[in-house]
Amino acid sequence: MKKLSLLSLLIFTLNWHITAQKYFTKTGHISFYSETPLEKIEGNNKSSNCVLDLSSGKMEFATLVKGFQFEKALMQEHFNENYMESTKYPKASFKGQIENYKIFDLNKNDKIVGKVTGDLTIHGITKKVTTDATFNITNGKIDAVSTFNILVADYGITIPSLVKDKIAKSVGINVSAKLEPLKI
Amino acid sequence: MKKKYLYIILSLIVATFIIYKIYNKEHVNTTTVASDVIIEPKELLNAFQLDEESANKKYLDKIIEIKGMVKAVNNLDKGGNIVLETGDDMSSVICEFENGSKISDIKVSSIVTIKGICTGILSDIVLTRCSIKKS
Repeated sequence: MKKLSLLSLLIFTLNWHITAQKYFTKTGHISFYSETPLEKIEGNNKSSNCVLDLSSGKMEFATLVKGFQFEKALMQEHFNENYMESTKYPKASFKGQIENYKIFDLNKNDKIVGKVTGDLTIHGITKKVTTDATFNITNGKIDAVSTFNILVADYGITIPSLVKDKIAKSVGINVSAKLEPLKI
Repeated sequence: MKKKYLYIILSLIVATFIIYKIYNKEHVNTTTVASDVIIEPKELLNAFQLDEESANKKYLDKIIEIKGMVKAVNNLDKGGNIVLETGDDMSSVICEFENGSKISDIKVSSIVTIKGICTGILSDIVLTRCSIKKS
């Protein structure tokens, strides 16, 4: 009997441990979008890392700049060489916190809308960003989605006047991460 | 006089054609282009874990040919990826495939040779625009 209660205690603590752990993905989808009447530019990265600490509501994203894929090879080349200088700055990242965070209850399917605030680092420059984010909880998994805009000038990226009508000053960024429990 | 105009028009057509060609330049096709580096997943990971900066210098934007054991095959909404075993539980080599690549018939634990462009390391090394090399 004693053994049994010890076992159930162990299972209970293990369970508690599992729900308190980190959620993550290695296949987060980050895309950016620039649209002007002259040209539509879209880049997609499907191997971005995202970690959400369920106990604190802290979030982290990391992505490889060279991993963004464009429809046209020339756009991709310009993105890497002229604007993002991806050889010098190979990564972009975000470190932030869900505001007024209450620990997600993963046992019921739910849709939580909140704000995330943190530091966005692009092109070696870090800026504070606040964005709306939606967390869809289904069957113990979390689908985190967010859309926000940034000004390219904020990140020290200058657009030559020759192409200034083709590239938007403010680009949209979409983030979608299907998070699963991190198994250690 | 007429000849002069003809030359101008002709050179304009040629210039437009060249600009159009540059603008629509094709992506690197890893199926046909020669590999810059032939390496094992474990060795590549070691290089990045040991010194990321020098590994970046050595491998970024290079066509990597890599032969290894398939750890997972993920079909995403457009395209997908094949994860190669490195012996390290936390870090693998993720090989991204573009839309239309046939990777569903690749089996976990099988040995494949993949060619792709190295984009660096996060928790895993990422190769993009991959293709399966037929042996």
